[in-house]
Amino acid sequence: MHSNEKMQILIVDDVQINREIFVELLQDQYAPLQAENGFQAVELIGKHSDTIALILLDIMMPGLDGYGVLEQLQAMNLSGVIPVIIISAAEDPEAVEKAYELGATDFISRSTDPTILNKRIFNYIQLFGRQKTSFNEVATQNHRLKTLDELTDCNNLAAFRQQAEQILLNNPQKTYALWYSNIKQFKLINNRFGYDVGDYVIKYWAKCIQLDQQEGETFGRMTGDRFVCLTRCESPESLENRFWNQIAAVQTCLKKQDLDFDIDINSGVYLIQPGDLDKLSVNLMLDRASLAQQSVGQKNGSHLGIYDDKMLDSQLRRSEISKHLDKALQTGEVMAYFQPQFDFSLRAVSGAEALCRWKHSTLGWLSPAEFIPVLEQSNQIYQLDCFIWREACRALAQLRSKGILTPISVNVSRADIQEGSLVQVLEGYIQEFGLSCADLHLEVTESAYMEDSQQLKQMVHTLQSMGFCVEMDDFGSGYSSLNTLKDLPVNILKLDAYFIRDSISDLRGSAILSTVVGMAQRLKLPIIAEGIETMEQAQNLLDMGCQWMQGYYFARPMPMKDFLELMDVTPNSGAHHDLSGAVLDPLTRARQAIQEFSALLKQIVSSNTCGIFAYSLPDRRTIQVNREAYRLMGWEEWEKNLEINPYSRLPERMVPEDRAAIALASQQMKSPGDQFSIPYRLQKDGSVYLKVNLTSKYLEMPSGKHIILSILSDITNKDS
Amino acid sequence: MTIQECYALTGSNYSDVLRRLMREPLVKKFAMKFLNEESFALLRDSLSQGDVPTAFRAAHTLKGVCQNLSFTNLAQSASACTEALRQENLAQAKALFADVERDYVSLIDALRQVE
Repeated sequence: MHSNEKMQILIVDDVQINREIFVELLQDQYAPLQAENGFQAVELIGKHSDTIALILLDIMMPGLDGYGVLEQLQAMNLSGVIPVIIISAAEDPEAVEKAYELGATDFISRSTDPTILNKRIFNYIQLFGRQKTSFNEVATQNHRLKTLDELTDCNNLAAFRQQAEQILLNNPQKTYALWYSNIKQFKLINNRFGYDVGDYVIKYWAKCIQLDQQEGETFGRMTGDRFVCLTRCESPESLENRFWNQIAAVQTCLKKQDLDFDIDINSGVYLIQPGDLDKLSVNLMLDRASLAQQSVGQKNGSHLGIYDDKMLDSQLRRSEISKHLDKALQTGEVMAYFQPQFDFSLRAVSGAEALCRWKHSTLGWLSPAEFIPVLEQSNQIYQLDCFIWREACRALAQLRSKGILTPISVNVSRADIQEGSLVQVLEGYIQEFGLSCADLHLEVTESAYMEDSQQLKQMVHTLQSMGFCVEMDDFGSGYSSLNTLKDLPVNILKLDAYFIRDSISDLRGSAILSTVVGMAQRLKLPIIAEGIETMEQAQNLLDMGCQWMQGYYFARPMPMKDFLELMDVTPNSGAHHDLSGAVLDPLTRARQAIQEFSALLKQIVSSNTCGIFAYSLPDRRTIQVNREAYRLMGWEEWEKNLEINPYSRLPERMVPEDRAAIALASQQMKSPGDQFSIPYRLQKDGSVYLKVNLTSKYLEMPSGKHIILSILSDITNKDS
Repeated sequence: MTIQECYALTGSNYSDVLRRLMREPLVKKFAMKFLNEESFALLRDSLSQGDVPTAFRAAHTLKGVCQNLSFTNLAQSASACTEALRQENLAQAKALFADVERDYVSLIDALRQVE
């Protein structure tokens, strides 16, 4: 392309280096114009309004700034005619917002990758129709847009299907493999490193697939991080090889680009046998490859699944479950079961968790582990949860009618939190059954908290402010950082079953568990331990200070009728998980006692409300003496900061007869429990100036040490 | 030293700038232009004169150039100073300028040694 055919791009920036970098990045494809301030920019726009295809605009410039240029564009009726991309730091959202209001098209950061920069510029020029192309070029362009994936330049899905079909039709005797692949946790890559990096990963992967392709094969990008691929297939082993080679190639490619993280890929393959095309469309084959891809699940690492007909069966089963839910809820196939929770210290029922059970009319009992993921996928979990919540409220109403105040907890999934009607629905059930919000405890899983969703935290706050008690479910199962506990909006912790099972038997686990329990107590968070299966586990937890428990050892989940009957005959602990009367773990108990006692002593010793001195026997060493004792003994050594032994020197200022009486009484203190209480007087220059009462007691300490404790009180003003 | 060593020595991100400019000679060409960049001097002078609006523009420009060239350390200290000036907190900006000066001096020293 000759330079006079290149489109013009106006770069407006007051800093020379910045302009030159853009020129460098763009000059291969465009003809850059430069303006170093707003005025120059407006002048150039006026001259070249027909030929400038796009403007790159800095905001902060001396003289006329970027906003000013945008306003001038409006005045020139060019706003929305020439695309304007603002160059801005991402940390300045206000500037970006203001620029949008003034008609800017988009913004980019200075650190934007050149390929992305070029792509965006290309797209906007297309979008605004600023290019000058012949009819032929337009036709080619349109064809490209219809068949090519914009990001990777490979086939889009429609084009892939067409090509795949053609290949299969032309080669009816050969065996092929149809691949359906995606990058695991791709959203996380976008979230952690930004969309630019995400786009990179997609492009590199497309490139790796392309390099791996052989004659007579094709591939395409469906959407997002999903690719489809048609390859020859000699044997299943050869598929495995290709799969791992491709992953290795992507990893190497990323490493080379300093993108130092691993990606995992899940692929599913449908093996196309000769003649299959007569029975199945490429679309249906893709469905099967996708089923095979889903079948590998969410295990760590990369996985390849190869379709077999069982997968179709399980897909049919899943769709049966999903389709049947409405009816199952109406006919009573789906039921709320209640698993009682116990206060092991009181041997009383303290609550219950409402769980879901499903006895399918043709498939029999379905495990929640099977139907919950299915309903999650089909967005029906809210419907199911609403049903259970209402059943729990019904059970609560029955309990309340009998005067039983025990709460019931229900599960609230992440999907439920996103439902706009959650609050109204819960409120509705509470009103319908004449309950208060505090009756219903809501369990939110720990992993939901860890996703750091503002929405979730806000919703939990709302629910709490309405009076609901929120429990963190599965605590200890996943990512819990003890540190985050203090900020989380939660009223009760539910300790995960696996945590307990592993921990009771081994020493370290047990130490961690008891620390968690103790810490939760200091945070004033009650803990309910789930999954208790043996007496030993229950007793251990109680010793650690966790008194609320749930598990098969106590009771299995049971139908509502059985639960209500059980509540009739079993003592219950009432409405609250009250920590004030709770059993504390021994360490906390001891620590609290010591802290309280020493605080008390400190208060007495330092307040000088009385004189105290204590010395040990038989060595007569002073172990505690305060300032008031010095004063009441008539010594001034305290001021002189001298250490003396009060016992070794009875006060010189003591009236002699008092001194004799004290000396005599002291000699008679021979064994623990002996004591005396004698008043004495101090004199100075022949006159009595202080009257003191001395009480001494012989004590034996728990350590076996013997101590004389003396308490002196000023009674000068009391007798006279 | 090489331009890459200069980046490593001054807390700048060489792989980042190379990713964008794609060729080492280009990185060097633009990095060396930074020796003539005047926003630092303008920032220093306007701070000492207490001219907050000028200081803010200068700090902002300095930050932008540094981000553009992936002089990460200096970009960060300039960014902190910019934010203080955005709040019109001259005293804090002056305190933060000490970091800017330190990073600037070390960067300029290193750039001068690039062969």
